[in-house]
Amino acid sequence: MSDMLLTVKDLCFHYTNVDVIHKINFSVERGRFVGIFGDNGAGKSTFIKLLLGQLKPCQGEVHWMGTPIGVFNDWSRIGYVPQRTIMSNEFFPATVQEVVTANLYRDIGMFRRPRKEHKEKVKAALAMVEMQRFLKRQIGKLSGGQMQRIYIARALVNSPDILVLDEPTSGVDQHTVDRLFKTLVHLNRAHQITILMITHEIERAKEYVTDWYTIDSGRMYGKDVSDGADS
Amino acid sequence: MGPILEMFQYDFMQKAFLMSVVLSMAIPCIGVIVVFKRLSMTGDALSHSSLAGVATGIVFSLNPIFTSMAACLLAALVIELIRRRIPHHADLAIAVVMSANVAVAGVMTRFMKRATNLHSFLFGSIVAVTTEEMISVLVISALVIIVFFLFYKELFYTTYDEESARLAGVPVNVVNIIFTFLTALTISVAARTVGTLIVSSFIVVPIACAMQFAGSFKGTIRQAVGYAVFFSMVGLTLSYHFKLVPGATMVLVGIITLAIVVVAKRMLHALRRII
Repeated sequence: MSDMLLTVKDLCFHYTNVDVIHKINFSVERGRFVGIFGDNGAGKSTFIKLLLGQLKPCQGEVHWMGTPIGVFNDWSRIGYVPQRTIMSNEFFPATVQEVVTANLYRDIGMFRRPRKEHKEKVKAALAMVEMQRFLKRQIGKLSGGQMQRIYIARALVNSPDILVLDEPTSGVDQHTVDRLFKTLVHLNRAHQITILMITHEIERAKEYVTDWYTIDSGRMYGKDVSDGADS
Repeated sequence: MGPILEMFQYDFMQKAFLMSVVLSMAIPCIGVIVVFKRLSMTGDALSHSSLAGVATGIVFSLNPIFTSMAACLLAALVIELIRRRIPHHADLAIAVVMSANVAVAGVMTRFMKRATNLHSFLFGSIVAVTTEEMISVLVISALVIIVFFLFYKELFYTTYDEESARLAGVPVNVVNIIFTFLTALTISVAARTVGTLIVSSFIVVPIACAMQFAGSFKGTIRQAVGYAVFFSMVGLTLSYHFKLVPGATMVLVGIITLAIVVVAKRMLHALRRII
């Protein structure tokens, strides 16, 4: 099994004449907890969309587990936690169980209903983020931090190799941010789940991540910068 | 025979009750997606667009249910096309399509022998449907319910979070097309019975009522079906005894019920705080 879960080579993206992502080279090794920091408008969201195949790069390559993104179809190995503000609406009358079960779509199959094994998987994923007692609660009635943990559980339900989190601390109060990061560290160390997290909480997140990079004006800087080169 | 049961001796009332129960089961299935995808105004535009289809059907002596279905599908397609071209002005697409279709319906009245038929679609005429129309309504409603439950998982996830649903392997584009078809089918049959002007209320109001107390997605659908059946039964009964327009009466019963449910919820919250 390859130890490199994600490899990005010379990735570029631009809208008309504006360079949004400029020649990014980047990789994520199995078992790491990688943080990508950047201010609003730095290109973080575009970068994550390119990694997930939601945007096509103008140039460069993205490989997941050694497979080019164009032919990669094992998406259940990637647990994606979108930015909470993107989520359609918080008055949606769904229970935590319904939301987490939804992500088992591939496992359950078309025209089939969730079985006992799927219910067990949902409970196990919730237990990993200490939210099992919220199974029957309506998701819209949870706090920002609780909701974010549910979305992490939803991403974990397929037992992914890597978690990709887009601004997990947005809409979360400051007291909860550390608790959320500690949960991610626990998942990384105790469950060996690789984590790639995009956040603007640079100072606090640095205490928890094993590797960190910065995106600024579409360019990525990281550990290699200390050696005098762009990463 | 009591005054309530008396109306069941008439064949047209038996038909009306049968159709309204089946429709009350189909409409919330679509309504729940319409409301949570925030497409209530699109629903309204489609229901008004169905009027152009009805008018075309009457002029060319075609089954108005099928022509209104075609008009709804076309309208949905055009709204989607305009929305993709001008994404920041999606409301513009709704207004353009709605007014264009109402205008087509208006022009078509010039070629009708009697405009009365078209009027029966404005506010619906569930008690005046032919056996052929009743069969169309029952078959199409059953089809909507069956397809909804076959694609329940996909519709739920796509409605809740389209981006994650896509990554989870849900064929989002196919699901959206299926949903558009189901909406067009539902609106076209509901237009005949409830009326094109108020069908969107009948789609939205049962869901609005159910949202007040339901704790889950499934629960919302179950409760919304219950409310829709209640609105239909009470509305039909009132319309029979007081000689009112059935579709409009059903919707008014719905609106009054919604007001009561909202007030009841507030009172319960206040009571809980005191206790």
